[in-house]
Amino acid sequence: MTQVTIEFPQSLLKQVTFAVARSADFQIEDMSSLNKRQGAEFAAEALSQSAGFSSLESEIRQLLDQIGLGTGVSNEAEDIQVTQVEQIAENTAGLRAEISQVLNAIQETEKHLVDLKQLQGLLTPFQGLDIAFESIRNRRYLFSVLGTMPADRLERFRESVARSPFVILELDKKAQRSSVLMLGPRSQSEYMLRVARSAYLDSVELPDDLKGTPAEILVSIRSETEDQQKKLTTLHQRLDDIRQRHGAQLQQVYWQVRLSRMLVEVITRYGKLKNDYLVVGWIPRSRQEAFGERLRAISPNVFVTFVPDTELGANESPPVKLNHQGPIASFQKLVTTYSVPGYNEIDPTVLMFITFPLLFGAMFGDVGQGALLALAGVFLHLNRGKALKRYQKMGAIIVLCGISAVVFGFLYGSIFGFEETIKPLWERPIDNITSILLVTFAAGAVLLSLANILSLINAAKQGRWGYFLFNGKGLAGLLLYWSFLGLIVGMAVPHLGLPTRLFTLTALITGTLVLFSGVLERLLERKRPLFESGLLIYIIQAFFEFFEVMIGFISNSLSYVRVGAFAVAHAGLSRVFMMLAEMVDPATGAGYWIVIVIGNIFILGFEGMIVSIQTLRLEYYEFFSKFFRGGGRMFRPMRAMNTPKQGA
Amino acid sequence: MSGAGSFGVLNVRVRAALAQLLTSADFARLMRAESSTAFANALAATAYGEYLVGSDLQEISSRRLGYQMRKRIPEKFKLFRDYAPQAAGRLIDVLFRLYELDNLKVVLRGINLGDKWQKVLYLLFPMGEFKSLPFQAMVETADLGSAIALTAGSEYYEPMRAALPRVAQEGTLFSLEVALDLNYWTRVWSLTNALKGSDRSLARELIAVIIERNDLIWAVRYARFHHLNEAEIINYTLGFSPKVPDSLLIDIANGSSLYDLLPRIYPDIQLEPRVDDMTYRLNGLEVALQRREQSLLRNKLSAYPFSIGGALAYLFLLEDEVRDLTMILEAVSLGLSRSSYQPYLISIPAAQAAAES
Repeated sequence: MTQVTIEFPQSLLKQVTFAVARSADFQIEDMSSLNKRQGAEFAAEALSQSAGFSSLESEIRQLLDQIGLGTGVSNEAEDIQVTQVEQIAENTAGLRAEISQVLNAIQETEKHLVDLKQLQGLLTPFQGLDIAFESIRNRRYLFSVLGTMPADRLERFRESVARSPFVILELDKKAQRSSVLMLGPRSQSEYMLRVARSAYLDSVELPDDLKGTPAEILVSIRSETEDQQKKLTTLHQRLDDIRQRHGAQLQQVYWQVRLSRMLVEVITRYGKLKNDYLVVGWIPRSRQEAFGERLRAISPNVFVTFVPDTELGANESPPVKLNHQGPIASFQKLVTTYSVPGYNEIDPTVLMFITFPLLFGAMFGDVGQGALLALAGVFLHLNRGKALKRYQKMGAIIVLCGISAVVFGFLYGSIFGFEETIKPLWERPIDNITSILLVTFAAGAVLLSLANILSLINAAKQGRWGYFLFNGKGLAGLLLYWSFLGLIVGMAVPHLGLPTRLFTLTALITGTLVLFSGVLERLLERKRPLFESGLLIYIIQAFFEFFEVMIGFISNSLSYVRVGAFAVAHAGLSRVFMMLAEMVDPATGAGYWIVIVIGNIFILGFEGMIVSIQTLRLEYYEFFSKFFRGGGRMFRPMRAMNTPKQGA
Repeated sequence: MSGAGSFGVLNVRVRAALAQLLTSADFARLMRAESSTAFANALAATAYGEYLVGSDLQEISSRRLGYQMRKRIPEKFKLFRDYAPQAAGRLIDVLFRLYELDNLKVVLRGINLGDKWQKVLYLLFPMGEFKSLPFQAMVETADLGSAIALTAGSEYYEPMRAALPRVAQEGTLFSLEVALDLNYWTRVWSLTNALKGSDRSLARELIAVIIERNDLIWAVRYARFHHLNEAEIINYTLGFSPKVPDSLLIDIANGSSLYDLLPRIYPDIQLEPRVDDMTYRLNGLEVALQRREQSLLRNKLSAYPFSIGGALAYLFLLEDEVRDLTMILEAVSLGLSRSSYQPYLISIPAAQAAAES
């Protein structure tokens, strides 16, 4: 990766910006902090333009959605002119107003139809009432309450007003509710309302302009509903017409606004000097020549400087371009979830691509279940449906894990939990527990050693030689670990005749180096003082850190034993379901197979999830933590002029 | 099963349960307890001891003790419901649901006050093995409308849904709780009337007494504390019993004194001497009515055995017994003297024990 610095006069702002924006491999850094007063005004103006474009872009996208068009595909970049947002807004005001007017009219008509339907619902229970509303409403002496109430409370309601000059008429009864009309003197309207409320009578509020009997009003409502629906149809036709006549134009305006916004946003990241602009960014080494030529072709006053990564200062941090393809790309996300690799650090994605499925398969070894998992992965990967789209990238991971599980299934001799159907190519975990645990311990030791070696490579790349030689994760730590392993194996299997004296000596020497790694690293790297917090504190600290390293050896190594444990547990769980199936149906009839199917589904789902979590844990905490510091940042080139194929 | 066959086993269960009702000697021992630990030890020696198995009687809190005691009620209701013939069993089930209704009101009040589930939980009555409403989920919605929606399909949903707009208008749960009460007791009365023969007559006799008491107490409360008019009071009461007619409710609404009205219904009840405190008088009225019912219930125990009468009588006696136990426990925990709760004891053995001491 190369750092690029571009300096150019104000008069070339547009041309340089276009050239920079068209590049697909250039990541711009934000230099706006350089801006002094006049630069700050410039930045404020650009931000204001950006906000204006953003607002206009949202409005046009919404209009396009509302007339049933997407944003379409952008025009070729050469046609795009960066204009003032006010100008675009003015040019398109008429069209936007016309569309908004039609849309508002549609919305109003739809609301009116909803209101009519609601009114129809309110009046339908009273359609048997042969009284004109205006004859019972707003009368001088008569007060009426019309509504519905629980049917089982009606009798009690009548009893409650037996001593009052009120009339209660039940107009209709549907399900558990009665439609009721209560009439009484207007002088007692408040009392009537209170009593009606106490009977849980929900009164109906009808518009004052309603005239006629309920049946007559319902007829007029039906007529008006038909008129409104015709109006709605006309409006939709008008909208279709607008879409056909102006849709393409609106889409073009949308892209003009969008790309103008993006360009303005690019400009906001420029550093403004007294008379010139300063742009700083990153580009892959292989692209720098072509990029430089494009810029210099604009004018001799454009100055372009390239600084290779090897000449950057200690606090410069180039972005990292991760460019994995195919199934390996699926694991990239798992890695970046932990952290983005630093610039001078090994990218563990390929390693994860190998080790993750291996560990998973070892814990989940079963031919049938693995095959189903692989099929599920294929389905997920190929599926284009919206609901599962976000999980598409996991498809490849699941396929590989499934295939690995199939392989281990053959090694363990297990197919859908049945262990007698196929002969194991290696051994059955549940029948050889000690053996499988030892093998997985050994595999763990290998992985940990690999992690330590990677740590050495990273340290060498970063020039941390003190760390490389003396640290617990460096060469001394690696040799110490191997020495301990050698001693353990030598004691456990003495007939192998391992050189235990050599291991002991190596352990003593490397152990001492690790114990004093702190001061040795500082000595080599010429850092002073040697004991930052004093000799006594250093000794105490060193002791505890050494202890931590030793504990780490044991715990990290033993952690991989879980792989064997889960392989045993997987077989154990399968056996449990076998036993249950036999208990349910000893004759291995339908009941037996139902339990087997349920058991396999359970194992696939539940245990599959647990094994995935354990695998991830082993990768992140046992493996990555040995060599992977992360803290990098992803290379994100500008895409201002490189629009996606589909409208966004 | 029908008649003797269908009630035979139930009758045996009722007799067995009756033998376990607390005597005045039991109550006397409990009243002599000077702490909730002593109370727990005394209670453990009674039929309630089975609910304290596994609890550390030295450490058990009075709240936990009360909760354990109350478990006897759902256990007995379920037992009798399961042994009773269908229609009778349905009535017993709904009668137990009064506790569910009380729990529902507690939950609604809790939501209205913004209480958390942990606080509401402690106020709920144990439902035993009866399936109930999703109270925790309701409290966690923290919204009345959403909580009510969770009861869709239950008998409580429609009255609550209909009353909810009034809660928003009036700012209280009053109309909602009244709607629930009216709906509940209407269902109880309907199920009572659906019984046949001696079941129907006995059940009506027992339940009508409760309905009368409810109408009377509600009417007084609505008139004196909520200042409702006569029509509102009539709408907010049940009106199923001829003993509490609308004319009586109208008199209550118009301010007639209880001392003048009560002899018209219950000539045998003597209220406390006239006092000004309406709350005190109302509590006194309620206790007097419940004590009167005790005699009726005990009479029904020796009525026709192959009917629901005995089971209902026992269950109501049990409820009164637990209520008294709870009161005594609370008094003991708070260090209150016997004289403070004696006027409120309902069950005959408890009242006798208090009087003899």
